Order: sequence, then C-alpha cells, then structure tokens
Amino acid sequence: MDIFISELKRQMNVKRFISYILISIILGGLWAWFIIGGRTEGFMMTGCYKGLKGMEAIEAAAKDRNVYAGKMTTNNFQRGSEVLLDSAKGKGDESEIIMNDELLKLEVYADTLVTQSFRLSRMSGESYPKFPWFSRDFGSHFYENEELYYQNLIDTSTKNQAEKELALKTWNKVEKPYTYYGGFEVWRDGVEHIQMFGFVLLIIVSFFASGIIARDKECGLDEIISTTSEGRRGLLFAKLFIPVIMGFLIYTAGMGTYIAILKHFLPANALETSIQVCCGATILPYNLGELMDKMVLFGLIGTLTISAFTTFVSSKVNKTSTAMSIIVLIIISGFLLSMGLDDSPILKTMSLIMPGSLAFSGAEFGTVQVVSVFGKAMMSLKFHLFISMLIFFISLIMISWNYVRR
Amino acid sequence: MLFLEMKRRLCSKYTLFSVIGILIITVGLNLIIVEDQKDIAVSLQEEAVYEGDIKEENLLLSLKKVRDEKSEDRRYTSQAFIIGGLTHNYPGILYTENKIEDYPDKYAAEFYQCWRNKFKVLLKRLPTKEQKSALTKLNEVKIPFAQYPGYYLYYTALENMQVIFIIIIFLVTFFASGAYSDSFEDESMEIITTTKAYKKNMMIRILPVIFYGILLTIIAVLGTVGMISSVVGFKALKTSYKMISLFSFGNLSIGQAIMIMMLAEIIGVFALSTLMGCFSFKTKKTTTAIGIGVSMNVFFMIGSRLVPSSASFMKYLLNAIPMASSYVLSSMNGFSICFGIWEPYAIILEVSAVSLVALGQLLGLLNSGTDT
Repeated sequence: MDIFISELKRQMNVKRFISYILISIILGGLWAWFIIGGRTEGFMMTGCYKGLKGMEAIEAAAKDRNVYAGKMTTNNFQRGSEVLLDSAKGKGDESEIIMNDELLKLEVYADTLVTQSFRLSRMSGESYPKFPWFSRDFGSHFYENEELYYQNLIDTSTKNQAEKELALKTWNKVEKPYTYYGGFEVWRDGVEHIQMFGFVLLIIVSFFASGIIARDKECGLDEIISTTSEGRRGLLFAKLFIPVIMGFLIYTAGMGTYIAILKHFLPANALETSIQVCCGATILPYNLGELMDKMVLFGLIGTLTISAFTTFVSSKVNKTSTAMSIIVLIIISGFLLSMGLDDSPILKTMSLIMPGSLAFSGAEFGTVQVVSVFGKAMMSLKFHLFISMLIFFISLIMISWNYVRR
Repeated sequence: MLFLEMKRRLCSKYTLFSVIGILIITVGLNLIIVEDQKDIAVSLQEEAVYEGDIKEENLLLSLKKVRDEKSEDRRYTSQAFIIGGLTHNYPGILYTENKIEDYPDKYAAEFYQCWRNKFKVLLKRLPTKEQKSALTKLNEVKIPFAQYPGYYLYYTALENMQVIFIIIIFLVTFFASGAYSDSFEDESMEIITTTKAYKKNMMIRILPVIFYGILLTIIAVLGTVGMISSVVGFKALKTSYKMISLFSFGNLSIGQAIMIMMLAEIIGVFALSTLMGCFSFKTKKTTTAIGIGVSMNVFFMIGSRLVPSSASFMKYLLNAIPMASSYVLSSMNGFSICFGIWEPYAIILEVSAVSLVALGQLLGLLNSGTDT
C-alpha cells in the first residue's frame, strides 16, 4: 500500500492535480452558463417571449406552461388543438398565429400535436401537412395516433420477430398518458450536451493517462524500477488504478459541476417529463431525469474505459506524445462515427467497439435501437455497455501482462 | 539540406503508418459505397439518355411517365428524382408534396423558376444585412444545371472525404507538434544552435510537415475520385454541384467542388503546421504542443455544432481556426454569407490570413533565437 500512496503522490502532485480538476470544473461551469444564459423561448416563430433571455425567459415560459402541466390527458390535447386552430388567422401560406393567453398555456400540447401530424404524414407518405395542420378533433385521438405511429416505427426498423417483440415490450412499458412540467426544453438541451461535454472530458482524461507508463520509459526511470527488489510488479497496482481514479475524479468534478449548476437553477419537477414529449421519437420508458442519470453513468463508464485503454497504449509505446496521438485519434473516430450514425452495418459495428464510444451513445436513446447478437435480440444500449466493460477488463489484463513481463 | 530534412522526418514509421491508415480508410469507406451498387451498369446506360444539361421539357416528360404511367424506367425515375429535390431539401417550405404522385406539372415545366422561388424564401432566414448580397449571388447562378450518370454516388463520397480530411488535420497536428520541441527535448537544439546554418535549418523544418499533409490529402482525394470513377466514369465529375446540394451558390461542378475542398485542406494544413511550429518552439515540450493543438481542433468541432449559423463574432473566430478548412463541404452545402462572400470562400480567406500571421510569428521567433 505504501508504494501505491507514493506513486499516487508522484503522479498527482498538487499543481498537476489542481490544474486538471480546475480545468474540468471551469469547463463545466462555462457549459452550464452557456446552456442557461443563452436560452431563448418561443413558439412557432410567433415571437412570444421576445426580448427575454436566460433565466428570465425560462421562468416566464415555465410559468405559463405549468397551468396545464402534469398528466397530458386527452381532454387537454383536444383543447390544445381547438385553441391552436382558433388562434390562427389567414389562409394558406400567408397564415399566421395570433398569440393569446390560452395558447401560451397550451403551447406544449399544440406543439406535440403539430409534431405528431408531421410524423403521421411522413409515415403514410402523404404531403407535408399545410397550414391548418389537422382537423378539429385531432387532439382527442392523440394516444391512438401515437400508438399507430410507434407500431409502424417498430415494424419498419426491426429486422426479425425477436427484435420486434423486444421493441414492443419496451414500448408497452412507456407510461401513458405522458407527463410534462414547464421548463423541460432547457433541461433537454442540458441532457443532450452531456455527451458533448463528455467528449471534452474524455480528451482531458486521456491527456493525463497517456504519460503514466510511457513517461517513465522516456526518462529512464523504468529501468531503475525494474532493478528494485519489488520490481515492476510492486508498482503494477498503482499503475493500473491511478488513471482510473483520476478519470473518475476529473469526470465527477466536471460533470458534477455542470449537473449541479443546472439542478440549482432549473425547475426540478421538469425532470419528470416523459422523453417521448421532449426528445423525439423513442420507445424507451424513461422520464427526463432517468435519461439524464443514464447518460451521466454511461459517460462515466466511457471515461473509465478510456483511461484503462490509454494506460494500455501507454504501456505499449515508448513516448508519451505517441500515446497521446493514438488515443486522441481513437476518441475522435469514436465521436465522428457515433455522431453521424450511419446505416451501414460495418460502420455501426465499428462505432460500438471503439473504446470510450459509450460516452457518445446518446443517439442510441432515440428511435428504435435493437440489435441481434447471435440470434438474440438486445437493446443496443445494453450491448454497447457490455462491450465497453469487456474492453475495460481486457485493457487491465493486458496492462498487467505488458508491464510485468518485460 | 532540404532533402536530408525531408528524409529525416518522412522516412519514419509514423509516416508509413499514417499513409497506410489513410489509404485503408479511404478505400474502406468507398468500398462500402461501391459494393452497394452491384447492378449499376444497366441503370447508368439508362441514365445516359438524358445526360448533359437538364432541360425542363425532359423533366416534364419524365414526370408524366413516372407519375401518370407508373413507368419504372431508370431513365425517367432519375429525372423525376431531380424534381424531388425541390421538396425534399428543406422539407415543408413552400413545396410540401411528399410523394411523386402529387407533384404538379409546374415543378417540371418551370423547374428553374420553382427552384429560384424556393431559394428566395430560404434566403429570408439570413440576417437582413446579408440578404441583399445573397440575392446578387443567387442571380449569378447560371442555369441550366448539368448532370451525368452516377453523380449521386458523390453524395456519400464527399461526406466521407470530409471525415478523412478531419482525421488528416489531426494527424498533421501530431506530426507538427514535434517539429522543434523534439530537438529541445533531446537537447540536440544546443548543438544545432551553434552551427552556421542554424536559421535556415530551422526554417525548413516545417516543410516536411506541409509536404506530409499534402501527401495525405492527395491520397484521400485521388483514392476517392479513382474508386468512384471506376464505377461511374469521369464524366460524373462534370455534374453541377447543385445536384448534390440544390440550394447553394456558385457555378461549380462536382470536380471543381472537390478541387476547392482540396485547396482549402492544403491551406489548412499550411496554417496548422506554421501555427503548431510556433507552439512547438514556444513550449519546448511535445506533449504540451499536442495538448494545445488538440484543444484548438476540438474547440472548433464542438463550437461549430453549438454556435447558431448567424451568430457573428463567434462564427468569424471559429472560421479562422485551421480545422475549419476541413469543414468546407458543410458550408458549401449551405448558403450563409460571411464578409459579403459565400462561406466556403470566406473560410479559405480567413485561414490563409491566419497562416500568414503564423508564418510571420514563426519567423520572428526563429530570428530572435532560442534564448528567449
């Protein structure tokens, strides 16, 4: 244990430790400020809440929208569709929506209905709905239409019976009627940015970990260590876990600051919003808060994976700069692959096996992401998590093998 | 001396691996495109019937065949696909039909007029002060557009090329980071400083880096064009770039667009290597130089996703980062305006300005010697 502590002290001397942690905390703060401070609210180009920015806009909008918040019942949807159609003036392309108090309160309903009518028209291949997007009683059929849309989505995006059953099972777990509370829009942005911020943190962690073994080799310390009575074996435990600990600290410090600031300023009950309302079409039965927890957790596991993998690369190469280059390239390719999630199965597989790509798995929370592994259907998320864990442990084993054997 | 320096830097494992790596990525990505098109030869022959300028009467004929007679002849469907561009790009604006059965004759008979109308509506999204110069740009676009069989393979091919360009910029960052700091780290700089040709020796050190970047760029471009052309022939390069992105300015053909991408990338490589040279000389540590370079690139990658296209100051700042040059394709697909010129040209301009500044800075650093 002594040797672990002294190695820990050497690798994380005060200046280095503080600068890494401080950078990630500052970034987290800036990011949260960017999300909250730059926020503007509006509804279908009507210019309501014009001139308000940041917290003022969020609070003003949330106050209006909270009147009908909570369970989104069919009655409210029906009311939303009527109010929206009533407040629209003019015909054809020149129509515009005249804002009124009632519509401000029912905005979320109206918005969801317009989105649904677009989705349905795309599904059936009809023309995009023109100005009065739907008929008066459209709102009262909201949940039937929703069922229709998702059944079709599941049919078209699964490849075999097992996948379809799994997707249907997951979809049936979704709680209906949906729930929403004012202020979820800005939370959604905050949650979406978790993976962007995670990407930056991943690079910071890899910078720290890339020198862990390679730097010893560069300055000749490695040779000296190998002649001591304990040899490299005594140091193995420290070399294995210092990057993991540091990765954990950097990630929690950075992401913790970010989430803490968001939680402090934004309305807490908005996290109970169903993700079907705010995050596009998806079959996962979560609310926004659960989604956020999952994304943070996945980011953390991605970070730990990348720190273990970086140590492995560091034990292989002779120079810190080489280790850095390799890891940055791997992180970038993982990022590019998962951001432009292509339909090509080869690229999709590659994006799954890239170390650290779990931190960018946000796209897998959308639509219907099911994969078949050896004929067994599985949520793509779980499979990704499994692969990431596998990479983590294989890296640890390989480091031990590489480091002690030489 | 130049030859010796080239040999020292370029005859290394790093260069070999990165050349092979870029080659594999290029070939691999393009194989995915080409593999999908097994029976393309027949449809290419069919499409060749209407190759060349896109005429409205041909469009109308094809629309009638496909819409009314349900013809599935490739020669007609490929033309109808062009009409579809009016509704499928920026869907829901002005033209809302989703299926070909609903298209009115007007879309084909007055294709260019319809295109212009929709473009004008789209231009209203730009900030007011830019709209006027955008309208002049729109009027400069020459019609008719031209198309040659198989051009649509370039949709994905160009996007893939952009990804490869991004990777090349990172490779150049790593390669350039050691230009001076390696010599500081192994203390050979102490020896070199005492030699007569010190300054000259130092100045030519960024040349291998630039050469390396250009080499990788050429491999990526030639690989892509070669592989796609082996399937559809070189003629497809003459297609108007409008067929890739209907609502963009300029009178480029696909070939010219590729040349612009390549030019921008080379300028980006030039700017990046001089800039990294400065960092490398200043910090005297390779790892720090890599850290700065990577942060700069990542700042662009994240920033370009977050900043809305009209926010002025941030946009100018981002476009000055060398990384911007590899994203020229994305701005070529759009119609935003910077400094009164179309964005891709603005990026090229800004990055070359940055490269000149960096070059001046580097020369200043070298002249003042190592003891600063």
